Amino acid sequence: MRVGLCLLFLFNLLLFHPEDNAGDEAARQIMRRAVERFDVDAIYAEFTMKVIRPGWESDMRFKVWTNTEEYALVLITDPPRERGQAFLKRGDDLWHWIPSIDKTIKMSAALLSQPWMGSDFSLNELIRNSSMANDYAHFDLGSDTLNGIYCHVLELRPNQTAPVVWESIRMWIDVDHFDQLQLGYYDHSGQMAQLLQASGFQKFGDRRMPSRMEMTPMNKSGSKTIIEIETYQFNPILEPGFFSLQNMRRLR
Amino acid sequence: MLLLKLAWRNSWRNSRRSIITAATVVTALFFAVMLESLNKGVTDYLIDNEINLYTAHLEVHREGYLQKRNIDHAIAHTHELGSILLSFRGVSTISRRMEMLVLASQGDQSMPGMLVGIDKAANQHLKKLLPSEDHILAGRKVSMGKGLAEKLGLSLGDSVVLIGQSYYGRIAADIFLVSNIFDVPIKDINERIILAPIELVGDFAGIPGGATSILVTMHDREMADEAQKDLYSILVNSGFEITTWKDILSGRLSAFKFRRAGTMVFKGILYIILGFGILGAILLTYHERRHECGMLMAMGLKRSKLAVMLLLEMLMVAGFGILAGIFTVLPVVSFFYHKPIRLTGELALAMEQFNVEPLLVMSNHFSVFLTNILMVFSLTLILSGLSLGMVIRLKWIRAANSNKL
Repeated sequence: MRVGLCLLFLFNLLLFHPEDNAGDEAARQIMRRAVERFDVDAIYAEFTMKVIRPGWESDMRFKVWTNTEEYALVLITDPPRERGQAFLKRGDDLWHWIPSIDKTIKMSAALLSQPWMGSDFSLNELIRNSSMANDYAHFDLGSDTLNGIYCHVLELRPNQTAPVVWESIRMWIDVDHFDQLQLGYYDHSGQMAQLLQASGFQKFGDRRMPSRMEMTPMNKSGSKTIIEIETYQFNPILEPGFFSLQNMRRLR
Repeated sequence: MLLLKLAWRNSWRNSRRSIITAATVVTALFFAVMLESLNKGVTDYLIDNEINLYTAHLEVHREGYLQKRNIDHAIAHTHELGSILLSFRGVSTISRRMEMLVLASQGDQSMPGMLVGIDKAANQHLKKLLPSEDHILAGRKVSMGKGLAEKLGLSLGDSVVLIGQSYYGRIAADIFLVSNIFDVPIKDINERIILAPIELVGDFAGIPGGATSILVTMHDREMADEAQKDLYSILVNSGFEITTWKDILSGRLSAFKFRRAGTMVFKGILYIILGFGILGAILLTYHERRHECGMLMAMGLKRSKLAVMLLLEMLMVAGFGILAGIFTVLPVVSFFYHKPIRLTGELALAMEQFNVEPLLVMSNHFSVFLTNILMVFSLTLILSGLSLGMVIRLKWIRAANSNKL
């Protein structure tokens, strides 16, 4: 009887959580080193973004404030057409403030993982940095050389509960600095859907961060998005009520 | 020559009889022409209207636009393409157009709308609906269909918020002044359309100088097919697609074909009735003149010459009838060509539901007259052939002896 219960319990484990907490320890260690620099409550950053499409490109500047996973505020400062537009995330809620029509629009949280402002990045990719460590199981695929840099190659498979659309992510991590140099996103057919390349690693404060990220969608030739990070501040002092609808409208 | 003279005299000898026959022809021609003219007029009017107002003979889009119809498939730089098109043989004008789906909003009311930017080369009728020239420079002003304005509760001078997706996925949102409200007889358009100068829409959509389609007007509507083939070879490698008015209006055109088939049946019935009318007149003539024919033959007129004379008579009377018919129908048709009948009431509503303007226009195209003249003429000839047959088989002795009617 007792054996039977035990078996049932084991079976249950196998059935419902086959991949949670799976992955190998070495990979987890490498991953931990790679993402520990993101282990911070609040971030303030300034980005410029260049969206490149066949026969057309556009530039945009924006500021990002985040506090834990719960709160984020993004304010567009350039070009003039979009200046002042802001996005506020509070938990699962998302609002969009459009000053030109003096309106706040409540949006579906699903838009967080949609391409943002016509780029190849989603808002989630811009404001959530640390979830790579939590939402995925990690596997060590060995090592590789990328542009002359010796790298660990990890494969990340999302946990069942993770809000992720990818089948897997392959990650190239610099052996010396544990910089995430390149991420390949694979869809359910095993094809690479998009490629994120980071470069220009430098110290922002006491943390080593990339200053340039390039996202290339694989199914659209001639398209990519380049983000350059101009400023990173860690744990900036934000007054209470910073992540509020009122403040979203006030910000300049 | 003598026969001709005789025929002429014969026709006038009993003028009432000739006039009755001619009158039958006149009636036949009158109704046939009216029917066809109305049908062709309405069809042509709708096609021309739609070509002028909303489509052109050819439309150039970036590849994929027709399937998706979104602004991401707009043509970003139109100058170069425009000059290629303009230098092409048979092209009379080109005009840029930018269409984008927007949400028009006023207070708590929101309605989907189609924001259409048109340029200076656009059709006169369409341009008239825009805010006047100096207003364009003055600021962000739009005109909108009365149906849409009513649904949003907007009146002249109110502001309306437009929100849409701009070029490559950004958000376009702005406040515009409603500076003109116009009534479009087509319900679908009336409840959706928002018109603005293309410069304004281009800025709003984030592609100044861009367009979703370039409309090409040819010197002649029928040249479009050929031009499409030629232009296709030039443009297809540069990532453009090109369609003719026939493709764009294909749904409408097949409706017209269906309508045309209906008219054909109706016209067939009309011709049958009229044919019997003409037949009656001919039979009457024949019976009246049976004695006369017998006498002529008794005096030695050859059967063949008699037949030719009768045929000439018939031709004269029919020709007279046709001439008179044309002179009767021409003023009526041209009157209604210049002053079309606008339907009102339930009939108009029914037509509007099918997105057809409730207007009865007549065509004064010569083909309408020509086909019907030929039709009536040949009908008369065939039927007079019948009386000729009777003359040929005439037993002249009995005819000459019969009592004159």
